[in-house]
Amino acid sequence: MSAAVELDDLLLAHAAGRLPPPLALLMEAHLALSPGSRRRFALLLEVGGLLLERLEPAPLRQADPEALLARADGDKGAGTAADDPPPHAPGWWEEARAVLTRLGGAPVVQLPLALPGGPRAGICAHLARLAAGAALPPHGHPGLELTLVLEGELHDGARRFARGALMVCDETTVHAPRAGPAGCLALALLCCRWPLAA
Amino acid sequence: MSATGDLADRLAEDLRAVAERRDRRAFARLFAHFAPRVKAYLRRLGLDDQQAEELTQEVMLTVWERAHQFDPQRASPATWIFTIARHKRIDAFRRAPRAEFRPEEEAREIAREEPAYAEREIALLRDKLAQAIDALPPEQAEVLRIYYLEGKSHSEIADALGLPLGTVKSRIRLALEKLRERLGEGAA
Repeated sequence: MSAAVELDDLLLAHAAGRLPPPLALLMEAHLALSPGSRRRFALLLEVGGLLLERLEPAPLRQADPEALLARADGDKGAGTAADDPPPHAPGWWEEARAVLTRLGGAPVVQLPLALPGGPRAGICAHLARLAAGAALPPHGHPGLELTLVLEGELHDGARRFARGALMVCDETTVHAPRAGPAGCLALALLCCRWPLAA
Repeated sequence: MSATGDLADRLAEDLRAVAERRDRRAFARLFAHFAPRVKAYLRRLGLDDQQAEELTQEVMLTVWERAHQFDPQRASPATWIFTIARHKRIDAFRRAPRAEFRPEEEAREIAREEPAYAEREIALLRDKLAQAIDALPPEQAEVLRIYYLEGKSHSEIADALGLPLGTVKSRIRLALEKLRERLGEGAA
């Protein structure tokens, strides 16, 4: 049984800037891996741009661009450097892989992750490693769950999710997904509060 | 070429002038066009005049500093600036310390290598999309505009317009289907 929330709903919510940070991050990763979604997303972003164009302009208090540029010259360099995100810690991925490998004897290994903004948004995340052909026991979902396949394949009944595919489950979904012949590595986010605020 | 396309081309040219020559007059034109619209967008999202003004100035400063990152193959100027405003607003709400892991940055790098549309294609798409938006039934256009620009959830839109929740959802879906149909993208 498929979820009431569809991939398109998530692409739209992301284009409109409506997703909490952890989900926005997952969608960016999905977009990086999925050319089909990237195309649909580009269109949804353009809609945002065109709607912005059509807004009735609001009067500015400071309408002189030179004043703004003077400010930019004033704190030259410092501003941009501080705005740039810090580089991610090198080796985090290798560490995660090492943990997964150490626990690799089990058919299913789940590694909880703390994502920025997760607790506040009521979102928990984990990396799941399934051995070739391993299945999860049949289970339901307390909320919206998004699973991004990073390596291998995930099979859910007749549906196959390859690298880059996003599996969307919600309260109505009961399933027992199984890894493909090469196993599967996936990142799953479970939202205990309704993130689309529908 | 439509009026929308001409305007977008001129603004894209100005962005290039800012990126390549630090052209202050080109920036003044971008500022005059976009700053009041960005402010209107932020006001609609519920920021007060002061907050919206400050964030607008920040957005325009980012445009000045990051103009070299604008890629006409990936988006129109309005879309690029809409994206910056969207991020600034999200950032303003979470000034919490960041974790080190930033895969979305990497994702953007990867995505940049392979644009979703070719250059001419995006210009054509923009024109067709602009026409398609203007051709939407007003009740669908209204719901779409509120969803994108006013930060209201489906149920808040339903309350504000006195409509059932299902109607709001189906209007958004219908509107997007229509836009895709017009672009020959298929409805699925």
